Amino acid sequence: MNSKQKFQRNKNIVYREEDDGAFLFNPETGNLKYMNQSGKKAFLMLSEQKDVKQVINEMLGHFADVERPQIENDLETFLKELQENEFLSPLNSE
Amino acid sequence: MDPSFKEPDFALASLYLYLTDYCNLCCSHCWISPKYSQNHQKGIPLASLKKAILEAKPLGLQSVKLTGGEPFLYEDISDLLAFLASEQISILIETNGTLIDNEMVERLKSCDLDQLSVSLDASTEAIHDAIRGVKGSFKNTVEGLELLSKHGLPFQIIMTLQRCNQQDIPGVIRLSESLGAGSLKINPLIPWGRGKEEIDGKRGLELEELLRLYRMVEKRDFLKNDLEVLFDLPVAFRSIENLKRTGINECRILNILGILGNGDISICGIGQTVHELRMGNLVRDSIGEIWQNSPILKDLRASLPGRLKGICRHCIFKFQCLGACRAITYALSGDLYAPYFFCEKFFEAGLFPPSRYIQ
Repeated sequence: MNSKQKFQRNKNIVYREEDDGAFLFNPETGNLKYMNQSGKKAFLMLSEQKDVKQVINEMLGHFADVERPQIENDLETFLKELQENEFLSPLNSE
Repeated sequence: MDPSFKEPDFALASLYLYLTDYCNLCCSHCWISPKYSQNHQKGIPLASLKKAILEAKPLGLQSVKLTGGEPFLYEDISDLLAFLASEQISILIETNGTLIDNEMVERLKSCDLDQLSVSLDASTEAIHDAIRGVKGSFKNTVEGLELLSKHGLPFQIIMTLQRCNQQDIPGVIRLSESLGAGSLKINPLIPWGRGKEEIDGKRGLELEELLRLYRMVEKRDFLKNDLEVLFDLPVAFRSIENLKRTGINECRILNILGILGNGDISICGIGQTVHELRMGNLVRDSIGEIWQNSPILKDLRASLPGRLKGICRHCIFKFQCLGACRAITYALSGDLYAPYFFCEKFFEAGLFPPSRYIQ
């Protein structure tokens, strides 16, 4: 996972927040993802075009009892799923 | 079957077998409304059933659901279970549990039993027997459940919720735990068959009451062990935490066929009372031919979810939920693509979660 990588949100998707998490929905493909609070936090940071390293550091701040390797692994899986479902795509670095 | 029909776009993953039109109980909420009998019944001819199952295997058949009426009232149930075991077809059973005995438990042990769901509407004999319409049914069902538990056969308990048993949810949870159930499924009334009479008679629950009970159950305060309590509301009303825990449970309408007690083939059990949703008969027609060419099935495949109407059209779950139950929707409205009555009622009452639909 490239720690400098940034992402952008697909413009066509619908993002809906709820008390216990959030939904991503693509009305064209029907792809749907529901996220818990930590997924919601990570998605919002990625949407703000924070890079992978920044997201990991902020998540470590939020979840002090979770080790860095665990957060890195979880984020990698999360990013893979978001890209496969076309909710996010990598921003090309200049 | 057309020899060019090699790989169906839609697998016929499951057959729902309404083995007999008869039931040994007379439940006030039953949407199928079978005839009452304490005697074993002939039901679907076993030879035709075996032929259909073998024909369905290359179409993708993985499981059958045995229901009814009461499936254990079916005269050939033991032979059918043995056949399904030999064909390695996984089995789901919906039963009132009153006819489960040692012999049946031994037979079930040899099957690939995916789920065994047993109806239990209350933790007390008085309420359960009143709902089930036959005295002694509570005792017989609990004895059946104890037998399953004793032999280590996993089972689910199903409670159908109405006004007279709504206070008993904690009681049924405790009883489910003590009997060793793996899960408890709580179903709201279906407004069809005898269930419609219950709702018309104001014995069903109001929308707000259902939501209140769902939220109460979701807190999981009553649970002493890891019993999973599944409150069967459409997915649009379930919390994210619930979805994470139990999944969406997608509608299977595009991957199932129902076979009724007289051998008629329908989209599911609704064909019992809605005759235009029947597509043929097991004795004279080929399952493969129906699966491939039925105009009803072709229409459903081409139209779900795109032609859904009302709130279903706007719901963010429509690709997974496919409008919840299309059979009941058709029975109530005469339109396969009308909005699901439950969600539409909530939407009209301003109770549909705004985060769950798009304009």
